[in-house]
Amino acid sequence: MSYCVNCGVELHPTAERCALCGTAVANPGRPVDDVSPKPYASDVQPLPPNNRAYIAGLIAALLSLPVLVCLTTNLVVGGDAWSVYPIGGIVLLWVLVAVPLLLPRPLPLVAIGADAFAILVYLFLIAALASKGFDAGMHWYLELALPLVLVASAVVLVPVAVLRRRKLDGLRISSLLSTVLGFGVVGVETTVSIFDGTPFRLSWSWIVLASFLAMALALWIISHSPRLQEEIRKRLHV
Amino acid sequence: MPRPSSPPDSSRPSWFRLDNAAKLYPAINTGNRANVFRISALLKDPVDPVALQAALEEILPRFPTYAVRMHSGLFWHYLGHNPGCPVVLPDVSNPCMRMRFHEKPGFLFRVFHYDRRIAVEFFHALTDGSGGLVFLKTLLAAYLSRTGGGGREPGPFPPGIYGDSLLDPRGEPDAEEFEDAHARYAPLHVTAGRREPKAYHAASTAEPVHTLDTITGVIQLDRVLEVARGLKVSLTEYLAAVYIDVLCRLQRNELAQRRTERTRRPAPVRLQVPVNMRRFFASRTLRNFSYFVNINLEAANGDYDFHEILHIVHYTMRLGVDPKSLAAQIGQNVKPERGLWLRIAPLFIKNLVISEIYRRVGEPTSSGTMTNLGAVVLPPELAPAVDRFELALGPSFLNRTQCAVVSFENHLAVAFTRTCRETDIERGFFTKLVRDGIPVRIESNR
Ligand SMILES: [Zn+2]
Repeated sequence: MSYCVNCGVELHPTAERCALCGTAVANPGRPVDDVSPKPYASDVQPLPPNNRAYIAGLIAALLSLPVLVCLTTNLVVGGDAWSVYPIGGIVLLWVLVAVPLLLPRPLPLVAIGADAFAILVYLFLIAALASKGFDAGMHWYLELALPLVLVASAVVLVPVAVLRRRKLDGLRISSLLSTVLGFGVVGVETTVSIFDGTPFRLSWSWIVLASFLAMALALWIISHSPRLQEEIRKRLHV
Repeated sequence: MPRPSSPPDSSRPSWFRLDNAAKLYPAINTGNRANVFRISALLKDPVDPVALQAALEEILPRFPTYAVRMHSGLFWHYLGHNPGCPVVLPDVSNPCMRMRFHEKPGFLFRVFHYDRRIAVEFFHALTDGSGGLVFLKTLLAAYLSRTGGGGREPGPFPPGIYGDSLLDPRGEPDAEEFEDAHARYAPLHVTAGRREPKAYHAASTAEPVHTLDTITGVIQLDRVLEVARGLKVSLTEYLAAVYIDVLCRLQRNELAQRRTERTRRPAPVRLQVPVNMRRFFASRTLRNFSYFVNINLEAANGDYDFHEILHIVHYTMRLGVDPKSLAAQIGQNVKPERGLWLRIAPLFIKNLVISEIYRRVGEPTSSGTMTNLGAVVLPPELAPAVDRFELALGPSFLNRTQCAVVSFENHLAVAFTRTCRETDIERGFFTKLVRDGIPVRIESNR
């Protein structure tokens, strides 16, 4: 029998190295037995197929019922194409819930992108069917809805993308979030002012951006200085 | 919910409610919290899969609570009868993988064979270790009556060998075997308040899902008992103290590497030791009926040495197995399922609530689990054909290493299963035994 020179435990005759520490078996008097069966089976059980696709399908099946009801009612009763609104909403709901399930591993960026895209398509449908006519709808869509959705997705996407690359502590996360939010607010005011048709000028969002950036800078500096953190803890402790 | 004062009297129901403990498991059934455990018997001769399959088909009708699949009702999961019989499979190197309810044939247990080993794996919603052991022993008897072994020719065993822990496959199932013993023994008003702070979790690097590495230490029982008796403690207490000692050392090493004094505060080291409730509350149930004693060590109080840890473990274990406080724990766990609001919540909401509670206040309160199934006893007709038994726990998430202990005759098997790369816990544990003068033989699937 062989013992691990490092741990002092007896090893199975078929073991090539110690399972506890990885030291190779060195016993000139007794080479590793590669004929006898190993103590445990060595075939890996194949991975069973993913059942998240099943859940996504189940949700689709459940949601198809109201879709069918709306569609039939709309066709039978007639009227405008009102069923587009509930059906579009249901499809949107499915994308929000089921796309993360269909991804092979957690891919937040892809999921958020898909959500933004689905929202844009839904809003486009609403705009195209607007009661004031197609052109008015398109004006609203292109100059207000589309940019606002893009700004909102950027505000969500940027921190998620950064946090997936790098692990940050609480102070730095807050700093990152306030920077992104500050620019998001500027984006909102820009969009609204262009949609209004007034000459492009930023009024209130400058102030918001400036205070958010100041806060972000302060948080960033504090996060780099343990001495400052200690000072703040000393003066503000409760 | 009615409170039966004696086991319900119905001979063979077509479906079963989940017992009180089992209600947790379907809600948290994921790849890295599989809640599957495995009991294996190592025979003296290689296993014949054909005879094993026949033996399984013979005994399964005697265990109606295991011949089931998981169904979803509107409010609760339930177990419905599953016709047929699972196929005995060649063993795999990644045991205790998650049970998938929707896959055919949908049984919640598996039977494997490899060389001299017969292994059964159970989803914890079906039963606990004692129930699984009754099944394995009954399977062994049916198998050995076909193949012989241990110097015995094939042929039926005398009826005298059968009893409550080794069932006669020709017998009729009894209602007490299906009972949810929690319901019978839960006191109506007494409940144990429980609010435990988060415990230490050893830092570790996760391996891919669907991996389970096993390191088993095979030890001569009399040598450990000698050491434990020398220290005036029981076997479980000695092993638990060694485990806690290792966890404390790991935490000290981890904290020493932290940058600031503030982050060096030690978390409590808490070991969960399951206790078989059938020892205190008479029941022949083949379903779940075990609870935990939590051994808590306030690591923040200072560095405990081994003898101080042993002292705490010894008295916690003695204090923890007081039947009245155990009954209060049952009451605590049964209380929510008697409340109207949880009961009428739709199943998917229940699943969300239960898994969230478990994630927040269940799982984080322990640093590890060490379960001791105790000494397996076989009738003299069977024992010579069997070498030893092994118990293994499936993947868990926050504490990636777990420990399961079982003994048979003079062989004690201490099996560590892990879903991480690090083997520090195992190495610390077994080298401590070696330093205490106990020879250890290591077997591993890696
Ligand atoms: Zn070693």
